[in-house]
Amino acid sequence: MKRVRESKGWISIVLVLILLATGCSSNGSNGSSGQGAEGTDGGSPAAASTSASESASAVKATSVEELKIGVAADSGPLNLYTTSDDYLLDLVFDKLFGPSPYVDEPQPLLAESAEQLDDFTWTLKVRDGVKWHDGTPFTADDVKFTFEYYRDGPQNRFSHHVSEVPKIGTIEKLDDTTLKFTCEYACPSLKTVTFADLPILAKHIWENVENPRKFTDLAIGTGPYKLVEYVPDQYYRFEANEDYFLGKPTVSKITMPIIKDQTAMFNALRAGEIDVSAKSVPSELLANIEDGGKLKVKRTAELAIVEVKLNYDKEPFVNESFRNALSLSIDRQTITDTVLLGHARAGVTGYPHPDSPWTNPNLSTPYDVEAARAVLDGIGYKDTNGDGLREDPNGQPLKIKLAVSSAEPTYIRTSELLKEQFANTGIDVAVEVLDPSAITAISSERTFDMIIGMIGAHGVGDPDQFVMSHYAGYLWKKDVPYPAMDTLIEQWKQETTIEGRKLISFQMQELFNKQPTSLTVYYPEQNWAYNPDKFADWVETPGYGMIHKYSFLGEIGKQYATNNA
Amino acid sequence: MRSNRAGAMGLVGLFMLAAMLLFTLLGPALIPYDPAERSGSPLAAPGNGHLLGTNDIGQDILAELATGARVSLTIGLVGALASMLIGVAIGVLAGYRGGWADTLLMRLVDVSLTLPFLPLMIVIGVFLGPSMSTQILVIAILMWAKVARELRSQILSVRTRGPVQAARAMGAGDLYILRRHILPMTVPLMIPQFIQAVTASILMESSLSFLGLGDPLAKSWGSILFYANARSAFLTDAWIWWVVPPGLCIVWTVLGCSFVGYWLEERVSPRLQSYTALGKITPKKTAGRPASAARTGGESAALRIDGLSVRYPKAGGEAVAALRDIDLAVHPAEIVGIVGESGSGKTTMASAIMQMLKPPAARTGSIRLGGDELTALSDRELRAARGRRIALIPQAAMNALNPVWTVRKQLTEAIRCHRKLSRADTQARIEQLLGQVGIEPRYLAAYPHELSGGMRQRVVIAMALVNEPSFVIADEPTTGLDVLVQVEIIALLKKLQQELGLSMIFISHDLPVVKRIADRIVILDRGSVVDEGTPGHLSVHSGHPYTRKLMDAIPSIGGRQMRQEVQL
Amino acid sequence: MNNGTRRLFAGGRPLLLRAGRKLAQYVLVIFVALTLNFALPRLAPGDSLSFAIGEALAQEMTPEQRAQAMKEVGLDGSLLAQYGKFLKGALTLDLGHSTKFGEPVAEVLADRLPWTLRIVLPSLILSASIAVGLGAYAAWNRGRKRDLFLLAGVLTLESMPGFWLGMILIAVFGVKLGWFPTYGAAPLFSTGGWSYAVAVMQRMVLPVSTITLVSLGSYFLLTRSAMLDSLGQDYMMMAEAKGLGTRKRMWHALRNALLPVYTHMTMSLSLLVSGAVVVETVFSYPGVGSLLYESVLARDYPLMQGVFLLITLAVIAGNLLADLTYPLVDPRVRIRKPLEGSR
Repeated sequence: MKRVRESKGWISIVLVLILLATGCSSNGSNGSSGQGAEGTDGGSPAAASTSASESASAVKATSVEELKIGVAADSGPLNLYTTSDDYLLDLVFDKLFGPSPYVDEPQPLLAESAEQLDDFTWTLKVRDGVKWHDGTPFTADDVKFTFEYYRDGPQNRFSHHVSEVPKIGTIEKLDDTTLKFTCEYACPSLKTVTFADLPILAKHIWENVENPRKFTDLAIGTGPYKLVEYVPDQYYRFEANEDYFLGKPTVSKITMPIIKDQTAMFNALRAGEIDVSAKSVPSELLANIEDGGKLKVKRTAELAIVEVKLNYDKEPFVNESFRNALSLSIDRQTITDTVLLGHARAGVTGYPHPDSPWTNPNLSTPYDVEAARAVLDGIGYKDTNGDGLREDPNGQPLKIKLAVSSAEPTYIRTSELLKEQFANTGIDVAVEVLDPSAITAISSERTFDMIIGMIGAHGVGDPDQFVMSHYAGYLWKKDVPYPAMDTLIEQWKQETTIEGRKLISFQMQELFNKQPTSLTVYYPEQNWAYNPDKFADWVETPGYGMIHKYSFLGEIGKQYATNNA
Repeated sequence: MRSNRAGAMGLVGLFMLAAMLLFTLLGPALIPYDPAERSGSPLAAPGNGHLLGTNDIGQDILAELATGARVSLTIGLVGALASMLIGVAIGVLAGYRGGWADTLLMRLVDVSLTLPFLPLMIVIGVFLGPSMSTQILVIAILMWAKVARELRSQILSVRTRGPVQAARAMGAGDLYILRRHILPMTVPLMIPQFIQAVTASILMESSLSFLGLGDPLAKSWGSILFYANARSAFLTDAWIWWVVPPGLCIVWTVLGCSFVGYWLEERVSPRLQSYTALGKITPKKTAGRPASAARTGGESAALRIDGLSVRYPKAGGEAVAALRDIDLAVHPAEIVGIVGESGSGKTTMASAIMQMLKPPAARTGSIRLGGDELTALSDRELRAARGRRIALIPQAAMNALNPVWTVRKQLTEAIRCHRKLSRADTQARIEQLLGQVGIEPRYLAAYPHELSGGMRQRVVIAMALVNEPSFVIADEPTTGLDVLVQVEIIALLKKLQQELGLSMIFISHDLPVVKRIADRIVILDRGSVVDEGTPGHLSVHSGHPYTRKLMDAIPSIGGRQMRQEVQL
Repeated sequence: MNNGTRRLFAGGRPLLLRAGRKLAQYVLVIFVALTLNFALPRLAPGDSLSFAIGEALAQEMTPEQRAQAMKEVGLDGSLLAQYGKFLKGALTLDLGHSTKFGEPVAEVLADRLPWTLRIVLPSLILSASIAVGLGAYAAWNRGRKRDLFLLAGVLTLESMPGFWLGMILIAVFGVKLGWFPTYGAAPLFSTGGWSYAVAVMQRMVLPVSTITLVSLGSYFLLTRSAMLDSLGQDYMMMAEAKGLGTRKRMWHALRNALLPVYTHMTMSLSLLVSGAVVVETVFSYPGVGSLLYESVLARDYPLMQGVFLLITLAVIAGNLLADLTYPLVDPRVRIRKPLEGSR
C-alpha cells in the first residue's frame, strides 16, 4: 500500500529521445485481475436476506475488468480531513448505515443493527468478520474511536455532527461488538442521520496520526475499493476489495485520471480514453454528447442548490422583509432557461432541496415583482431621487455587491441576470467577479453582501444540518438572536421522535423561505455521460449521483442505493 | 524600392488599424443587436440575422466583438501609455540626471527586467482581483523597464550633441533643454516602442482575461474567449464562430500595429538600410556604346573600361549618375591612381569593375579584363574570376576580416574556393604569402581583433593576393591607419606590385600618397574623369582647376616626407 | 544583455569589478523576487486555510478553531516571523509543504519540472532553428517578395495569442480530426515501453507546435535584423571579392548574426521552467507553468513561493549561462593571453 511515485526521469529531460527508452513509466504493481473464486455476493450476511437471483440481464452480464472514470479535481490521498468529495471517500470508507442520510431509511453497512433504548440512548451492534484493507480486523473499538476522534480531535466537517447536533455524551463498549451511545439531548435520528453520515476510521492508524491535516498516507478503509495508487494531479487507482462484506465488487479495477479541464474531459470521453466522466455534462453540450451513438447520458437530480448567500447580520439583510423582497424579485425560471438552457429546475420551492425526504413538500418562493416592490416600499426603501433605484430609509443610495467566482462561468452569467432582475425591482446590485479563494476569504471573513455559490447534499438534504447551519454561521449564527427560529429549534431539540422533528423542521423551512438568508436560484441537475459498452449498471442514490460504490455492488448495491434493501 | 515596400507594409498596417477603428466606432451602430441584450436563443449557430451566431446566453457575438474591441483597445492603449509614462519619466531622470540616480534607477531596471515576467503577471493579476484597472496596472508594471532603458540610452547619445551643448553653454535650464532639445529628438524614436507596448498590452489583456484574471463582466476579446472556452465551445462546432473571430480580431489589430511599427523602425533605424538584395544588376544593353567598338585597338591593356556609367534611380523617376561615361585602360604592371573627393565615384568604380554593384544601381558600358568582357560573365564565371584574376583590397580594410574566424581560416578559405590544394600546400602558400606581407606565421591563429590595424591590412592584402591575381584594385587601402603605418602599407603594396608584376588601380582621396605610388593618375570629380596624366605631368602642367586645387592643397613638407618614406 | 556581456569580458582589470556587480545584481534579483513573492499573496484577499483544510470546513469554523488550524498547517505567527522563516527556508532550499498537495514543495516541483522541459526544450530548439533559417533567408533576400511574405507570415504568427493558437490546434487536430490527444502529458496509465513513449510524444506534438509557432517571431526578427547588420559589414564585401560562393558568404554573415540569437536563446532558457504557463493551462499539461497557476489559485503559499523561486533561479541561471558561454561563440570577448607584439 505504499504510494507509488513517478520515477523522476531527470535525464530524460535533457534529451527528449531518451523518453523513448525510459520515460517515466510506473507499472501498476499488483495485477489482481478478476480471478476471484466466489460468486457475486456469497458469504455476506446482508445478502442472505436478498433475493440473490438477479432478474436484470445487465446485472448478470456485469463483470468488468477495468473502468476509467475521469474526475475533475484532485482530492488528495482521500484524507477526510482535507477532502470532502463524499463519492470518492465512500469507495474506500464505510459508514455504519448507508447509503446516506438523504434517504428515509438507511440500511446497515458496518453496523449490524442499531436500537434506540430511550430518547437519549442507542445501542449499536457492529458487523463481525470485517477487515480493514491492511488486514487488521475491524472492531467496535474503531467505531468508538472514530466518534470520539471526530468529537474531541481536530475539527472536520463531521465534528459538529457528534458534538453539536446531536451531542453525543458518552460511548460505552458493552462487549466486543456492541456499543452504547448516550446523547446530551434527544437524538431520535442518530441512526438515520448520524450513523448514515460519518465514515468510520481505523483506530490503529488514526490514533498515531499527529496532525490529521498533514496526514498524506493513502486512505485505508473497509470499503469495496482499496486505494492502491495516487499520483497528485494525475490519477487514482483503486482495486476491488475481494472480501467486501456485501460481495465482491463487479468492477475489478477503477482508475481515475484527474482531468481538470472540461473540454479535455469530454474530449477524452468521446475518444474513449475514459469510460465515464465524474463531472456532469454542461448544459451546452447535452444537445450533442450522445451524437455518434457511443455515449449515453443518465440524468440524476443533484441534491444541491445554487444559491445567493446573504450576509444576514449586516444592513440591509438583517431586515427579514428586505430578504423576502429580494427573494420575490428573482425570476428563477428565466435564469434556468437562459443560463442552464433548461437543464436544471428553477428554485421555486426554495430551501432545502425538494428531493430530500426531509423537505416540506409545500414550500414556495414565488416570483412577484409587484409584491417585492410593495414590501420594499413598506419598509422604507424607496426611490426618492427618481433615478429608478431605491435608496435606503435614510435616503442614502443603496448599493449591494454580488460576489461571484471567476472560475464559474455559469454563476457569472447567472449573476448578470440577477443584476437585471434586481434592478427591475429598483435594487442596485453590482456584480463583482473574484477568484475562488477570494470568495472563500470574504465568505469566512463575512465581508460580503451577497455571494453566489452552491451548497451540496450535506447542506440541503440532511435534516440535522439545517439546524446545524443555523448554528454554524452559514444560514445563521448561534449567538445572534433570531427569536422565531430559535423557538422552533428549541422545540425541535425537545422533540424525541423523528416524525415530530420532521414536522417542526417543516415549520422552520417555511419560516426560512419567507425570510431567506440564502436565496435559492435553481436546483442543478446532473447528466452523467458514460460509455454503455464498458459499464451500464449505474444506479442513482440521492446526493451521490450515479458514480458511487453502490453502482459497483450488483443487485445488492442497487437495493441499498434505492433504499429498499 | 525597398523602402517603398516597407512603406506599403506601413500603409497596409494603417489600413488594418483604421478598419478596426471603424469597426469599433461604427460597429455598434450598424449591428442590429445590443451586445448586452439576449437577442437570440443561446448558442445559436450563425444565421437568422446573427452573423456570427450567439453566445451561451443568447447575445449576438458580432455585437460583442465590436463592443469588446473598445475594452481591448482601451486596455492596450492605456496600458501602453501608462508604461510609456513611467518608462519615460525614469528614463529621462536616469539619462539626463546621471550620477547616483542613474545608477540606482538602472539597477532597478535591471532587476525588473530579470524578474520572471509572465509568472509575475499572473501572481499580480490574481492578487489584485480581476478588473480592467488591474490589467492596466499589471501591464504598466511589467513593461516600463524596457522603455526606460531604451530612452535612457537615447538620451545619453543626444545629450552630448551640439545643440544641447550649445543650449547648456548659454545657460538654458534643464527643463528648457529637456523640452526643447532632448524630448523632440528622442520622442520620435520612442514611437516604435510605444507601438510594441500597445501590441504587447493587447496580447496580455487577452491572456489575462482568458485565464480569468480580467473582468469577465467587461466585454473584451479576451473575455469572449474566456466564456467560449469555459462553455465548451470546442466540443461543438461553436468554436468556429465563437473562438476564431475574437482571435482574428486580436491578430488583425496586433498585426496592423506590427506592420506600422516595422515601417517606422525601418525609417528611424539607418542601420537596417545598408543591405538589400533587390534583383540582379544587368547591364543596360540598349544604352551606351556598343562594347565591340572598343575592340578595334587590339588588347594590350590588362583592364580596359569603355563608356562606363552607373546610375542610381531616384524616387521621382530621375536617376543620379554616380559615374559618367568613363574610359580607362590599365596596362600590364602599371599602377593607375584614381583620385577624387568622397562622393566622386571612386568606390563605385571599384565595385563596378568587380561586378559588385548593389541594386538599384544601373550600369552601362564595357569592362574587359585581359580581353574578357566582365559584364557578360555568368555568376559562376564571375566568382571564378574574383580573387583569382582580379582582386580587391576593399575600403575600410580594418573591418574586412570576419571577426569570428582566425586569420588562418579566412586565408585557407580564400584559397580553397579557387583551387584544390593539399593541406600542406595550402599551409605553405599561406606562410609564404604572410612572409611576403611581413606577418609572422604565429599570427595565423589570431582573431582579427587581436591584430593591430596595420597587421589587419597586411592580412587583407595577403588575402587579396593569395590566389596570385594579375590585377588588383586597392580601394583606399590606408583609411583609418595612422600615418606611419600608412607609409608602411604603401611601401608594401609598391614592393609587392613590383615583385609580382601586378597591374593595379590604386584609389585614394589622398593625392600625395597616390603621387608616390602611381604610374599614372586619373582625377575623378562627380563621376567624371576630369584630368589624367603621370604624377609629374599633373603636378606641373595640369591646367584643370580641380586638379590644381587638389595639388595646391598638398603641404610641401608632408609631401617630401612622404616621398622619403616611400622610397625606404 | 549582449552589451553587458561584452563589457564583462572585454576589459582586463575591471573584470572582477564587473563580475562582482553582476553577482550583486543576481543576488538583488533573487531577494526582490523572494520578497515580492512573500508579500504579494499576503497583501491580497484570500484564504490559505480553506485550501489547506477544505472550504466547507473553514467556513464553519469558529475563530479559535481557525487559529488552531492555522497553526496546524503552519500559517501562524507574525508576518515578520513568517518572513524570516520563509527567507531561511528559501536559502536552505527547504521549501516547506504544499498545502494543496500535502507534499514537500521540492517533490512537487521535481515531479513537474521534467514535463515542462519535455515540451519547452524541443520547442525552443525547433523555433530557434527554423527561425534562424528563415530569418537568414529573408535577410539575404531582403526587399524581395519572399522576404516580405516571410516577414508578414512571421509577424502574423507573432500576433497570435499563444492560448488562442493552442485552442485552435486543439479544435482542429484534437477534436475535429482526432489526430492527437489534447489533454495532459502522458496516457492515463503508464504501461511502460514503446506504446507509452509514443503516447507521450503524441501528447507533446500540439503544445510543442504551439510554443514553437508563437516564439518563432522573436527569433526570426532578431536573426533577420542581425543578419542584415552583418550583410552590410565590410567583411561581406571582402568575402564577395574573394570569390566566395553564395552559401559560403551567407555563412559568413550568419555566423556573426548568430551571436545575438545565441544570447537571446540562452537567456530564454529560463522559459524552460516558466515559459509555458498559458499554453500548459490550455493543454492541461502538468508542467511548472500550470503548477504556478494552480498554486496561485489555491493560495498555496509554500508551493507558489517554491515555483516562483525556481523560476527566478532559472532566469538567473539563463543569464549566467549567457554570460559564461558567450565567449565560446564570440572570440572577441574571450580572455586569453594577448599575442605578443600585436601592435
